[in-house]
Amino acid sequence: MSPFHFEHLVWHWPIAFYLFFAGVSGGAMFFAVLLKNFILRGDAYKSGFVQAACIVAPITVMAGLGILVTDLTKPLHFWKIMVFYNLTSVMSVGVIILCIYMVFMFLWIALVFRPVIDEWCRTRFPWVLKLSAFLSSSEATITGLLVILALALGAYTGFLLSALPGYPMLKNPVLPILFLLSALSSGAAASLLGGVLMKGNPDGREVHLIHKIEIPLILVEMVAIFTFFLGLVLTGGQAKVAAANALGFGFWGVVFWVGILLVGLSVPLAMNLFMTATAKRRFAYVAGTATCSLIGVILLRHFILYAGQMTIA
Amino acid sequence: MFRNTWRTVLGVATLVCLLGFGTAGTANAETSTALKINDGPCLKCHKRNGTMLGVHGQDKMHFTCSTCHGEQGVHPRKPNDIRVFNPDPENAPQEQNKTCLRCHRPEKLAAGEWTHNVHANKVSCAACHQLHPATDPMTQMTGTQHSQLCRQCHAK
Amino acid sequence: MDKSKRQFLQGSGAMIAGISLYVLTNGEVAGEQQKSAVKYAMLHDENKCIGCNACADNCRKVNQVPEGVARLEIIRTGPFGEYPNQYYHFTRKSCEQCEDSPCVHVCPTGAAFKDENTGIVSVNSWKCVGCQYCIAACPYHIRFINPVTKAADKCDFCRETQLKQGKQPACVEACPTKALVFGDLNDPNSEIVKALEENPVYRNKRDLGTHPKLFRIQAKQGGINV
Repeated sequence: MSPFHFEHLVWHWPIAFYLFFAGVSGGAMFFAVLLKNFILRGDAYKSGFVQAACIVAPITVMAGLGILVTDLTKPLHFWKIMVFYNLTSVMSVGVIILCIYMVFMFLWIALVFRPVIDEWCRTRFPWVLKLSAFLSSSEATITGLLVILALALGAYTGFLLSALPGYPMLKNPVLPILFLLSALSSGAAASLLGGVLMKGNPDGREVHLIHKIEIPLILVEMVAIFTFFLGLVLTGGQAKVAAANALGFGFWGVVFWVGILLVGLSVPLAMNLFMTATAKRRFAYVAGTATCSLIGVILLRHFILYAGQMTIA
Repeated sequence: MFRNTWRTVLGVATLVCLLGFGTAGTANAETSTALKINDGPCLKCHKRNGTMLGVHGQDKMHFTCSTCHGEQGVHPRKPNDIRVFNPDPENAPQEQNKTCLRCHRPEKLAAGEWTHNVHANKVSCAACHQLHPATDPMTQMTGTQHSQLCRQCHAK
Repeated sequence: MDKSKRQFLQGSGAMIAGISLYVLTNGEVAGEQQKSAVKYAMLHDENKCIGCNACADNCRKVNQVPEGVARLEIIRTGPFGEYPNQYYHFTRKSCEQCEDSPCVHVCPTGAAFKDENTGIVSVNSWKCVGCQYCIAACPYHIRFINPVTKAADKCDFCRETQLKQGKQPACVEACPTKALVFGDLNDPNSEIVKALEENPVYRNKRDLGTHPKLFRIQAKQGGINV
């Protein structure tokens, strides 16, 4: 049995990347909102980290959608998902969330960059100013809905898999929470990495805030992973078999222990604690930690997807 | 006279065609007519029903009719000890199949076709297999023909 | 800021109220017993099955299933026992026609649907976009992508072929040993209801709560007694 080809494998790696990208987008928007509302306020558009989040979020969500479409057996019939809805289907609800999310994401990004947009349009398209003034009046609603939608998007990727009764490891109530948490940390990591690459200050207020949130986030994520697998073991039967298959000495077992637990969670946690303690953040530290986190989340998506399909009910 | 010639030509043509068809098997058309097994004393009487063209008649196997059918003994008088192979359940399949099982091992048969295992000594080999024609009909069967064959006995 | 906070709270409050109202009303509709006039089911008697594959053959022919994929397979396990008394077990692998079908629940477009008049789970290949969610969701792993239509495909009790002509499903017609019984569970006089009452039957993976309508009579031993 090869790790990437086995009986009863239906969804391949493109789906893992789709899950990853949707999560990154939601997470990045979540942290961008936090940065703006808690510390940056009207100056948010000047921050490299917010800029990075506002670039990463649309690109990843559209890349994810692109992957989803090309992975269909009938990609040209994609519009049917938009036209025919089935509210019992997590995927259908997810597509609705994704569409509304994209609208609010762009509205919010427009609001963040309102000073720049207004300045540019003042002489060229004066009517845009009226529009932005109107949007600005409902900023709280847009922000609130965006946060809800971003969290929903992160959780949706987990619900998508936990709706599969044939695979005991995936049909797990902890999975959406785990995916939401890792989506948030991947969004944070993507914002940090993008931010320092875009000349953001590695020792700035933004980094301090994100790191402050990341430490408990990683700890809770570890607890969620622990609960996830202990839950499988205690459920017994095929669920227990699935946990043993996934965490054993196979290819995916190594991915889990080394790639996810060590590189993806322990190293970033240690680095974050170290940086908080020394209170000195450098480009290499921040970028390295973020890269480890991102690798960990990509591996987690692949691990859950593949290892989850290895054992059937 | 004229008519007779035509008949002969037609007969020979049919024979050639049939034998040519048989080349798909292991036996080949040129040798089948000249197989040593068909030179035996049995063929003196069994000209019509006894031509042996199948795989078991190949010269290199050094078979004679008696290898499978047993020694002539008092044959053609009855009762005799000649072994006859046919689907008739009166002719105990278990006894018939003993001859085949002298060479054919059950495990090998099962590896080729799982139904050998379930029919084992309950159905005679001759119920499905024919060894005298150049090719055994069982060797070239489609899936549909296979299930149709099951139907012949199992259908209610 | 205070005003916008209130605005946001009001907005999200209204939204949550709206969603919960919708879910509530929707739940009531779903909770009602959907009584279809006819509820088709099938029974596979593993004692009678001889593993001849005539059912799978006829299914392929009648429903024009391309080579390489199958709506129906007979899975053979064995041999059991010692030569010359060996036997095999045969199990039917095809759509179990769940009453509570995971494939129907997960399909984003409604291409996987349960026909309300017959209870048959079926596929609208035009609506299907090929996301393969149903294939992953089916706990019986019987769905596949039809290489010709590129849509998900599976056994539909010959709903589009044999049943339309008033005939029994192709597999049932082809079975030489009458190991397959097809009929209406809502009709107390139907052959299948009688067979289900007279025999101890089992169904696959009942613990998943899918309520499959493919019943099976467990084989005591493979083969037939001659």
